[in-house]
Amino acid sequence: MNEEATLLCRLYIAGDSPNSRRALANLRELCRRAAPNGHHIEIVDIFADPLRALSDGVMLAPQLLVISKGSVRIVGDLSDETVVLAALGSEVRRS
Amino acid sequence: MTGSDVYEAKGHADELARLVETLHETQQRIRELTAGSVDAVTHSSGPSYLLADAQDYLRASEAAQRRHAAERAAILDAIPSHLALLDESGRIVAVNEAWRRFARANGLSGENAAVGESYLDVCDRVRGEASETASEAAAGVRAVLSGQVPRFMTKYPCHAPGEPRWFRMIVVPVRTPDHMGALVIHRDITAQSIAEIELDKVNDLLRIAGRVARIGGWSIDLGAERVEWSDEVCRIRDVEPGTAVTVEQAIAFYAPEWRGRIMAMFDACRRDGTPYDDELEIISAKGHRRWVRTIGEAVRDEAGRIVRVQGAFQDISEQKRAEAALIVSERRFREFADALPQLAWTAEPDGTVDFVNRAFYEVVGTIAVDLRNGEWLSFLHPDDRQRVVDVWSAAVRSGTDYAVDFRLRGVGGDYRWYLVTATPIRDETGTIVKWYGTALDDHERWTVEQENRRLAERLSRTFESISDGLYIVDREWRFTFVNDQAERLIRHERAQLLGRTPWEVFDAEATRVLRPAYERAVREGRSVRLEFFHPRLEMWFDVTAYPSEEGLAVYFRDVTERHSAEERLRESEARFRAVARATADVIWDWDLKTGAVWWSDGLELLFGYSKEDVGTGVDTWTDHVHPDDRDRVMRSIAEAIERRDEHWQDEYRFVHKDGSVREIEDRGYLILDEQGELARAVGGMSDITERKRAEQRIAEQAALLDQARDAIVVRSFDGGVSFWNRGAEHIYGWTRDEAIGQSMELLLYDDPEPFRRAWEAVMAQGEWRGRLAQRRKDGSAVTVEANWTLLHDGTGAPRGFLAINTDITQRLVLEEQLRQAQRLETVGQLTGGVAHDFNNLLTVILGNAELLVEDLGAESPPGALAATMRLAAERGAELTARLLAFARRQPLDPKPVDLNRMIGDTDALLRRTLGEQVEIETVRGGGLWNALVDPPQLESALLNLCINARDAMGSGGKLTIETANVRLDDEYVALHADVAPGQYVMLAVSDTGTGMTADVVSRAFEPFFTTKPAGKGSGLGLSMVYGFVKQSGGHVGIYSELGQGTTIRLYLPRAPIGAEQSVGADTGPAIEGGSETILVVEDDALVREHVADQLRSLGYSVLTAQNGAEALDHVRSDRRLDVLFTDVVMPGGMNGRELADAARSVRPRLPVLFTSGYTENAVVHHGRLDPGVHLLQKPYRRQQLAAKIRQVLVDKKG
Repeated sequence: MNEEATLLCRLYIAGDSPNSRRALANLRELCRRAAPNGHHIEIVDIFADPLRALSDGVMLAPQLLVISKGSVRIVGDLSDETVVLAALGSEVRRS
Repeated sequence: MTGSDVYEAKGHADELARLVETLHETQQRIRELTAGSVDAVTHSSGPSYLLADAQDYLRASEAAQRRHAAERAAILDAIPSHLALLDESGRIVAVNEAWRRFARANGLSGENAAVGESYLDVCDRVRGEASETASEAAAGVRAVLSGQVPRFMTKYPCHAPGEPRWFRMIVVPVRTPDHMGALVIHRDITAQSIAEIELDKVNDLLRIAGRVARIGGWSIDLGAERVEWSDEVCRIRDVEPGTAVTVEQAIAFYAPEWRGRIMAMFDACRRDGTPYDDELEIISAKGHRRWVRTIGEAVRDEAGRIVRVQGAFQDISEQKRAEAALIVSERRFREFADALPQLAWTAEPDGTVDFVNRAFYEVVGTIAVDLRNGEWLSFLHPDDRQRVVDVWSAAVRSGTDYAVDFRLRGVGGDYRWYLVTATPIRDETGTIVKWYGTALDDHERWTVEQENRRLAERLSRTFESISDGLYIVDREWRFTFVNDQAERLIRHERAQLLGRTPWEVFDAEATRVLRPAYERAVREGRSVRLEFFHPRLEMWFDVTAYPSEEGLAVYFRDVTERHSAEERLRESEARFRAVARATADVIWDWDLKTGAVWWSDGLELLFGYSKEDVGTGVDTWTDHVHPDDRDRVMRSIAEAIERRDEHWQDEYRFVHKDGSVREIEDRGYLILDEQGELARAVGGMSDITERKRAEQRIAEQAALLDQARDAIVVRSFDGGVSFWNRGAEHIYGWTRDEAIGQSMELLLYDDPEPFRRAWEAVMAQGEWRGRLAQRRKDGSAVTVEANWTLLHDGTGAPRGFLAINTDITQRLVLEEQLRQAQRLETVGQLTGGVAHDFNNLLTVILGNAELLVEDLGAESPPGALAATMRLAAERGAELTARLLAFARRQPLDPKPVDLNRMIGDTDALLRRTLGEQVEIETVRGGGLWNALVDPPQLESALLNLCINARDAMGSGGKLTIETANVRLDDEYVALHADVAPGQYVMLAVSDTGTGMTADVVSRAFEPFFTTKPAGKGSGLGLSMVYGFVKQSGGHVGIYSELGQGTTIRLYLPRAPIGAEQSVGADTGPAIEGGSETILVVEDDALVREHVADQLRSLGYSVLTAQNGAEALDHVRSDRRLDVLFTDVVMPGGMNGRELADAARSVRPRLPVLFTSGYTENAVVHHGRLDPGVHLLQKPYRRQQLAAKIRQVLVDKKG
């Protein structure tokens, strides 16, 4: 399996706070749909690793970085399915 | 610088306020921009800021988690098991309270079993006894943590000082996203464990026992479904000891054809607890086919649930092989036995015959013989069966050889004899395993033997029974046989004789005579007969000796009697004849050889026949025997001669020469001559005519005595009762046979004292009369009028007394009843008289009281007094009415009454009166006749009886009212005074109350006799009932038992068939007056004026007269007169009735109303009103007076 086939995501969260929790749950669900064959989600807590957030230029949490798509960013709880799926890859978009 | 310094620094406060405002605004703005979807922001310098919403959420979330953690801890702490949570490395992460407590109690310091410590290290550090357990535990924990086993469980002892303790340790893995590790649980199972240890011990024993017996054990815990096998089970199945398998695997060991069966049995055991025990085949792991016996049973817990199935398992292949071998050998034996011509059989050790060979079936002709039920016995001769069973049972018991003979029934039904022998077969231990028997046909030998024995017995019996003496001597002159008679005659017992010679036993005299004779008989080979006299014994013997091959048989008999008789006869012949002449009887001597008869002179004296008349032939005597007796007498003589009797006796009638018939008693002696032939008959005829007559007379007299109803008894002074006639049998119940010879005193008297006094009186005065209480055979009492006379014997000495006893028991009862009736009659007359006068007074009091009440008004105080007076007078009237009822002086108006209906009508009233404590039952006779009685009086009587019954049942009880048709027969009437036989309707009232003593019963009907407390009863209730019923022509019976209750029966006369039935009592009419003219005749001025006043107040015109004559003046006048109202009893020569008759002769249609305090025959005949006669009973109320007057007037018009 090559690099392109794997969906790489990084989700910045703010501990156990509500939007972060929802964002994680939504992301898992959508990744499963968008890339059933392979995806990897990295979770970074800004309180635990603030330097990493700074290096990625993340000022707001939760925030999703889709690495494999050229670092598309989405801030918030990822509840807008259409936007997130688009970010994850146009090939799985459904009208 | 501290925070508070900053805050307090002047000028900073405003700036801080502004910054906070900015912070707030910033947060608000971020929230707006991100639609609230951002939790935190990060500044480029590093720090992140949690926004307010997220902070709120997290605070709440942490609080909830803390709470949950606390709850979980509380729950864990409450669990009695000791819990410890380990992490992946075995470090203790958390423990519950039970764990901590246990740790403290066991002196473990905090660091030993507390959070943070490695559990594995703790275990490894344990030394000493528990180290083994601890290392096992550690190994288990490691295995669970590494995922090698899903769980680990062990049981270990952890005894506290002085107390055994057992723990179970369970280790389970814990795998959650945030925790990997294991949970260690220790539980105290001491209570459970001790029981298990005991069980283990028992199981150990069983295991040992099983090993010895080569019996294996197995068990299955139904939860685990794993079969545990003992080593023996493993051995049988050829698997390694300790092998454990599933149920399916265990079943698979069974040979295919048996699997279904074992599965079914096991399932039934597991499901319903049905135990099993069966023999099946398995195929062992090494492929050996083995017979096993498998036993299974269910084990239940305390709640009765089946928790385990366990059982035993045994290799029985050897046994099976042996059995198979036995079957083969038995078959061989049977084939062999069947080939035998003689009968053969085998039996089990207990004696049950299990096989008989073909020969047996051929003999009995059937193969349908159920051997095990002992049916072979049915072919034995019935006489032999018990003997065979007895001998056989004894042989089986003792285990010894058996031999018996019996008869066996063959095909044709004939029996043949068999000699049967049997021998027990024993195994190496000496135990009997089988009986083998054979039967030899023994019939021929047996029948011959049997026949010989029978003949010998018969011969012996014959010898024994002959009346002659017989003995046999052999050629050496030794006794070989001596019969009974010979024993007696020789006077030696058989045992003393046998083997000895006569010459050793007989005395010199006998030997001298007999020896030459015997020797001659033997020598000459012929019999020798002789008679000889034995001087010492003073006996004559007739001896015959017969020579035989054996020796000599000797018959002999005692002929002394004959010799002496003949001698005596010869000597006394002359003397006899002389005496014969002198006697009053007729003596005869009949020579049987010549037929000549010699008669003494008595023949002529007694019967008038001279010697010339009768001649010498016997037929002259037979000619005069009464023709009706002749044949019988001749026959009896012939029989006596035939039997060679020594004497003959008969009674017959003999005809006198003058034609009269005499009664004869004739006795004769038959005399034998020297050859033993009948030679003569000698005898005498006595005239017993007089004696016969006397006997006849006595018999007739005795019959007469038997006719007497009195007991006639003779009591001898020596030997008790000597005469007992039929009357005595009847009175006392003892038959003549029972009484004769008994003591009169013991037979008839409970108290012998009066008897002794009477006896003394008889002895002193020669006779005695009096009354005696005696006892019958059945124990009942009898009273007799005794009349005793002393009897004397011929010498004048008293020899006994004659008792003539008349049974007066019944008479005494009747007398008592009569006395009582008479007493009641007397009292009745007395009370009747008093009541009459009293009624006159009451009439006035009652009437005036009524007027007073009306005039004064019942509400005014004087009026109330008058009302009280009226009430008292009315009660007085009720009492006098009862007195009159008792005295049978009340007027009765009898009508046909259906008692059942009347009981029904009064039911409600009775229940009200008697209260709830008394249960009332009515038993109404079917097809009940109507009774002829006065209905209101009967109701009153019934009520009285019921009230008495209630009062007798203080605390309640049952009252039964019963009706029935009754026929009083002569027998009943004879036992009760003053009752006529006939048909009655019975009304009975029974209670379950206190009952009465006999004394009280006898006085129950007397007026004013009461057992109730003073003021409770008038003592007139039963008196009224008695008087009423008697006056109605009925009868009252009273039966009472103390403590049981009382029944009173009223026998009321039956109404004539067709008589109309009475309708219910009509309701009292309203007071109704009139304007007619009424003539009042009354001798008592007070009463007369009172009645006149009352009638006037009712609107009537009233004429008065104080006697009959005055009244007739009015009648004869031409004044208007509508009713004659007259007293019945009046002085002055004319009573009410006579006045009425006289008045009607003048004015025939003049209605008459009588009034009376009591009634006399003037108007009341036999206690009943004549039809069409009106009577107003004194005292009466104004309403009654008015109503009666109206009734009379209406009747007149109608």
